[in-house]
Amino acid sequence: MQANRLTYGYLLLVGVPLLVLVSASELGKGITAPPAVAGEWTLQTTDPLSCVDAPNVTITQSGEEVVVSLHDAKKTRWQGLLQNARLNASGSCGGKTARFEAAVEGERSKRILRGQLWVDGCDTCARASFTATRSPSPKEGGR
Amino acid sequence: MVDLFKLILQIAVVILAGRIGGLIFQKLKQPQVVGEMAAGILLGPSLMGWVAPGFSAALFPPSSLGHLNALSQVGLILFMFLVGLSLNPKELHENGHAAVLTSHVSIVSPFCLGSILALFLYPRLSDDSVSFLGFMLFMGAAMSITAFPVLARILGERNMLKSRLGTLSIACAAVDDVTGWCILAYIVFLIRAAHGSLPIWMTLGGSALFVVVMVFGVRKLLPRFESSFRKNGKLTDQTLAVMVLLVLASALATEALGIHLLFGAFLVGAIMPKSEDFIHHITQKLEAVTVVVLLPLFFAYSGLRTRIGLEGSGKWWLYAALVIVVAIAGKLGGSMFAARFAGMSWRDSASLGILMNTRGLMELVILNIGLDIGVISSGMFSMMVLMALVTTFMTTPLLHLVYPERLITEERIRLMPERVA
Repeated sequence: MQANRLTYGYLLLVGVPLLVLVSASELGKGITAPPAVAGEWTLQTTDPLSCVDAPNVTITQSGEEVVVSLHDAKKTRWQGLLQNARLNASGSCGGKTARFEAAVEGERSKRILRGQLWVDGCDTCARASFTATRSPSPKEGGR
Repeated sequence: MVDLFKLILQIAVVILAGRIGGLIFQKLKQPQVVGEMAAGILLGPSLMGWVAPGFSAALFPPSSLGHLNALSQVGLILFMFLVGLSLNPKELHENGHAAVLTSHVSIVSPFCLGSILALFLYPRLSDDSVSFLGFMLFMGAAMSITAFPVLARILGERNMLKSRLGTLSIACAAVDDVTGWCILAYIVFLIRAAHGSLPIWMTLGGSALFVVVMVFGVRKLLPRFESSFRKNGKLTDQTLAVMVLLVLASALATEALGIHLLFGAFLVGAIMPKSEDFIHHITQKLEAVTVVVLLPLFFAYSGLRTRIGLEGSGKWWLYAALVIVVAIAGKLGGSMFAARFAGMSWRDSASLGILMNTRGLMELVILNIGLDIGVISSGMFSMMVLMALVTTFMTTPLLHLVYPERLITEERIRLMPERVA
């Protein structure tokens, strides 16, 4: 009696979850995650913003959430979102709001960011177009 | 170049914070280790970096963290050896069917729920540098781990180690940990193989060969340590040095094979002779420095990588809550229903589920490996750390509620005549 109960228990509590596990792994094959953009990026732009005084930015990523860190004295961080292969981040730039918008292009190993940088409410500042390339082999755990 | 002044200062601050945290948590009837974990988190950006960013950046500049990490890894190697040492396969056999069913369900159930959760979280908290399979397996493994050492400490503090519930939960936790580490080894292998650091056949074949050599070869030589202990009445410094060298060599071998340092250290502990006084003696020799000095460094290093609630928006808390609920439902719920199915009373089953839900330090170890190999993001890491803290913190008060002191005393009285007989 007890042996039967344990067998049923085993089938129900171990067998069924195992089936669910296999199904989940099959379902997961059809799911895509946002493109990986974490790492050190070098911006090539003709007309840089005053607050982006170094050509490098560091992007940290947790799925859709990204943080663009400038290499300035204040270690400014711009928070943003990555949706449909488009990165939108914004943050402080000399007391105003700067915007960082880029399209993520290319395969993972040859990924580039192509976009624009501008400051809200600054009529005299031009929008700066940029192309950013990632430094090779980003460090493990830098995401 | 090591800034020795800064490193020593960091160690001093970490130990002090750990001790204070431990004392506060002991007042709250929590194991000291929970306080040390919490103190480590509070030293990071979640509190100190948020309240006093200047001080935090000066005390823990990113460039100095490598040294802190190196020291904490040495501590972890010794700690994992001690965890392996405290595992006793006999405990499983003695607990029969209930242990087998409960331990298997307590792995499969959280693993299954973790995998379902992975379907939701993968597109939101991961990226295309990680395969869904790797992410899903990691979530499952992280959800199904039980903190064997913390569990033993909680049971010890409540005088429940020798009770039926105590031995059963220890046996189940032992199975969970071994299984969890095997799955984790596979995930590390999967991720590292994808990055092509070593040919797959070499990692697979080498790991299998290594385990065979350790279990069927080296294991037969290990009783010599015990003989030396019996002969001298203690472990001499020479013998202890050889033992530590063996642990380090094994750790290096598994790292070179492309799995992880910690597996090698764990394996040496697991295959050591298991006589109680011998194990107690080794533990006494190694535990003090490991637990008092080196492990708090690991907690602090983990804390410095944890950003509770600081990344993103309200969504962060929603995802974190989901992770916690799923972790508890899978582990506590799964173990409880399995134990009930195996014939235990509802009260005992619930207590077992509560105990198995303790994740503590082992979870932090796994999560750090996950973050290091890049299978989880820093956001996911922070959520899982919070989950580890919550599930560990809730154990003692819930256990007090479901299995009060009165019942422990009654069981001890009931067992006493049997033991005398």
